[in-house]
Amino acid sequence: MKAVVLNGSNRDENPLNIWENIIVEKLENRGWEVETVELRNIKLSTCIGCFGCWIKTPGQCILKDNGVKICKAVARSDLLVLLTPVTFGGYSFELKKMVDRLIPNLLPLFTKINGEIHHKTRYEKNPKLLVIGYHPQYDEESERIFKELVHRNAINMDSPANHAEVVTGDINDVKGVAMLRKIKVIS
Amino acid sequence: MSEYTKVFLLMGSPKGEKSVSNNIVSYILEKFHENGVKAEKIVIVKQVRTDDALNKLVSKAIDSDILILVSPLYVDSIPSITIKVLEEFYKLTKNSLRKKQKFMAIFNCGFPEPHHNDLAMDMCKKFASDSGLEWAGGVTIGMGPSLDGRSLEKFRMARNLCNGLDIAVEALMKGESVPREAMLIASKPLMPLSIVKFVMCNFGRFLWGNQMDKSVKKKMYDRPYES
Repeated sequence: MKAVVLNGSNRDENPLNIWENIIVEKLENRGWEVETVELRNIKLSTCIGCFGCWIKTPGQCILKDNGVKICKAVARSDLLVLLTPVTFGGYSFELKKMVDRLIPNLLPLFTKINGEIHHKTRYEKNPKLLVIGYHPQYDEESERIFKELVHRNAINMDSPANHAEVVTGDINDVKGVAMLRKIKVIS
Repeated sequence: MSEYTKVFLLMGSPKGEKSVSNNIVSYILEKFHENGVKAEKIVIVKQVRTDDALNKLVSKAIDSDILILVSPLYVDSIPSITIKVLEEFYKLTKNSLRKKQKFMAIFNCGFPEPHHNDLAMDMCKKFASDSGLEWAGGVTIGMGPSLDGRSLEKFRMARNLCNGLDIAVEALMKGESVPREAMLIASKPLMPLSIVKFVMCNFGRFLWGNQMDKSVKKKMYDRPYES
């Protein structure tokens, strides 16, 4: 089983970096093959909205940088883990620039899901989605937006399972670590 | 509205000026100019390439009295380059005393249902409250790509959107928030949803195929990364 962990932390000292280690350790102990990417440390362009990945080179972004490799790894994975500071309820710039670059894994064509129009997925099998957000203090509205965003991303990515969690407080918060150890989507 | 009122429009499409968001910005700019109000547009994608350019953009945005963001929806949310601007704005203003400043957001998506934009709108509201801005209202637009290529008033199907934006601009010029009525009018679907959904689900291959070279059409369903 393969997992891709995308860390959207925007600085070196961030609880997300500690949680990344815990998640990787947990997965590796269970025999998973894990690929991690610290997004702020790699060359990664932002999506230019050209739809080249649909109408010029179907399934492949026309921007030839690390985004292509990550997109490929995600397409071949069983679990996608996203780590991000919660930014106005959503993902950080660092994480969102890669999430925007994942659209080659969708088809331009449409389908109805629960009565709503969404894109069809390109691949038969798509990864489960686990998203961990960090917010220094508890914020009800941020958490609501964040969980709804992950739910909608999972619909669009046709993820067979998804889980979103917002962790608050200190880096070494025992509750946060305990929570991570219980997340079932990894099992 | 005082002649010193500064209106600043952030155009958030990564596609730059050849975009539906830019069409909407141009329409709003014209409405402000017709009323003698100086409004300025900034194309975000041109201003995030260097830290200097980004700082200038954010400083101008902070200095405005009315800030309007017009953006497409990218993967259920705000495009990354626009998140970067909002993050910088928040960073520079979070611990300072803020003057009274209004913030309005307009999102458009490729799906027919305008409500796909609702989460992006919620994030903008959260940005406003976290940054000490007064939330002035929002407009959500579905079927955005059908408003591409021509000015907004030339599209018959955009008449509700134009009417709603007219009321919004008028309210902002009086120093008021955008009336709920204007938001509802502007956010009405451009065409009956049942028809559009039927066409998109059944003729999608034809609609997208028209934009592809013959050789690429055959590869539309390719799975280059299949293991």
